[in-house]
Amino acid sequence: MIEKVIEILSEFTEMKTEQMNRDTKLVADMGLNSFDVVNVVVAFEEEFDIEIPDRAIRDLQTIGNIADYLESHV
Amino acid sequence: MKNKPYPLYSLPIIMDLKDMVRSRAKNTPNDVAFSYSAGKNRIVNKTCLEFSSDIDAFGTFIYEKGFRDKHIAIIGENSYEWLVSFLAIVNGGNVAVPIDKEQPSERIKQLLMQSDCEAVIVSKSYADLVEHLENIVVFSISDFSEYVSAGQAAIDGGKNGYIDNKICVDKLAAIFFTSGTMGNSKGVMLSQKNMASDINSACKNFKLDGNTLAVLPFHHTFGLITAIFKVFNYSKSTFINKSLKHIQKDLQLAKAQTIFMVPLFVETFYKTILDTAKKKGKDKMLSHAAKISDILLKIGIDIRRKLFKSVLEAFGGNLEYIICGGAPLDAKYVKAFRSWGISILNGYGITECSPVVSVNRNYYWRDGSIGQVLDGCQVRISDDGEILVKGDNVMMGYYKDTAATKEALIDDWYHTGNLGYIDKDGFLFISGRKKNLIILSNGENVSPEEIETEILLDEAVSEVVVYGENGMLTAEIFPDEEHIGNQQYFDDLISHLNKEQPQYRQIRKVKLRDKEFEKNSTKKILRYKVMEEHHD
Repeated sequence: MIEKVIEILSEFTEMKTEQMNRDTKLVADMGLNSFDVVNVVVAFEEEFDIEIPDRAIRDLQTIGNIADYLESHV
Repeated sequence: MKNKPYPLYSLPIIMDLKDMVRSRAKNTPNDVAFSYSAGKNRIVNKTCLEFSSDIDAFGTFIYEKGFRDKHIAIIGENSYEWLVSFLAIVNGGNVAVPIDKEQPSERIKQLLMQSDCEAVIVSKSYADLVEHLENIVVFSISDFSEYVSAGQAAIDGGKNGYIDNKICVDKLAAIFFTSGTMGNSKGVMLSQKNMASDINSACKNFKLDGNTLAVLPFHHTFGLITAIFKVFNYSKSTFINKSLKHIQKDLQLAKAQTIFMVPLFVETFYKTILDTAKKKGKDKMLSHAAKISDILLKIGIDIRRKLFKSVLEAFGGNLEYIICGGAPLDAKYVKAFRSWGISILNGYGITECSPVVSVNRNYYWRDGSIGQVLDGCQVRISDDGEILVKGDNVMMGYYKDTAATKEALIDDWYHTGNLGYIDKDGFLFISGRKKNLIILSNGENVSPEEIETEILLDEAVSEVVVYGENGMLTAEIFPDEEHIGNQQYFDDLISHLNKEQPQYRQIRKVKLRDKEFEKNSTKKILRYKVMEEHHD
């Protein structure tokens, strides 16, 4: 899952896959703002055909958080 | 039309929000007032008549449950039902208390107590926040249609108390919470007169020629009174964006002519447009086209809608205006969007003023200004440079906070805490915030926001807060992704900026941070949080 998450994020942000890992922070390390994070969430919703509630977004702070969320909900 | 003064727009005056709803239901009953997406490929449209009927029915239901002259909170994401709830409450003489759904449950409990709420209307997604509350009746938006049916049945049975309720325009109608400078939320008390007055005046300054997309949260006055009621009063339709996750889809569905935004949105759209152009190898072409377009515009030739068709299509294809408020927006965004064919009109609003005080006009604007003061709203600059506001749009006071009210309202003039000036053509400018003044040990006062604006001109700076620390000015910077951790770059930048500043105004310390500053739900940086970290 983590590889898939990184692959999608790299397309979204142009950040190289080798620069990302479980602990990479979406805002601090990847330079996303809160509105960017919402758009990232949409990309994952479309890819995995799920709905991530607005209230869950604030907990998605790292790449690992996203992977864990998807693993438990997909 | 050239950028020069012209007469105010003329619209029938509304006496109160009930008058506003009734007028549209009478004059344009079958026009669509609100639309929203309800699942895949399904759009729900609500006409003016349906809106008015739903308000009457839900208001009657509330009456039948025994709520008269009571305070009722609303918690939930943006929705048609949220809007019906607000108007059902205030048009029956009850007091609406919109609450930020992103607050933790303990905080919500505190706000409900602070505002003496006896009931709360809550959406399904946030129902858990008000579970187990004692002495508060909970109405779920999930059961909205049942409430409306019950209310309609009561009306059909002759219960006309709600419909016949006469609005007292000077009575308390709504309490909106605003973050105080010390982090304590204050309840801003607005009457029907306050809100109606601001809607009437704002409609005179800015003309809507098309429909809108509502993306700002309804619990804020900018998102509700300006972005919804003003549009409704202008006989235009609003597409309700229920979640920012759907903004791209909703932009395509709404095909809005105008969108009300805060700077964060403008900045992100700007970045996305440039990034997309870069990925397609068209960034130089975009920049070149903007230059050509600007030159042609100066000689009266406007080909922007053809030249930047793909940019405009990202916004649905019809976007002409962005009304931006809530925080300062750098002029570079205004210029870029104008080159692409979208006018960003900056405005100035404060919850305490219901909220709009000034806004740039469709065909009369100044870059860097927050526009022309609304008709019927007086603005003067105090001896120490503070913007003071007087008029029917100024709040009644802070709920159960006499001390804060006395401090803010002096001889009917609301003291905004913002520093500013008015130029010879009547355009209002903000130069800083009095409450954030940094008093240096030599007695000099420095406006941090003024310095921040200068630092923000460098594109490597995403966010910056300037504060006093040990008697010196410190700039704490959140860089863009390419410059995170690059201390040398920012030391050089500040050193360069310092060269043009008097001694006392020079930045002595540059701190970099690796996460963006904490913000409230309208994306304003919570300055007091930064101050708390440094105790100066």
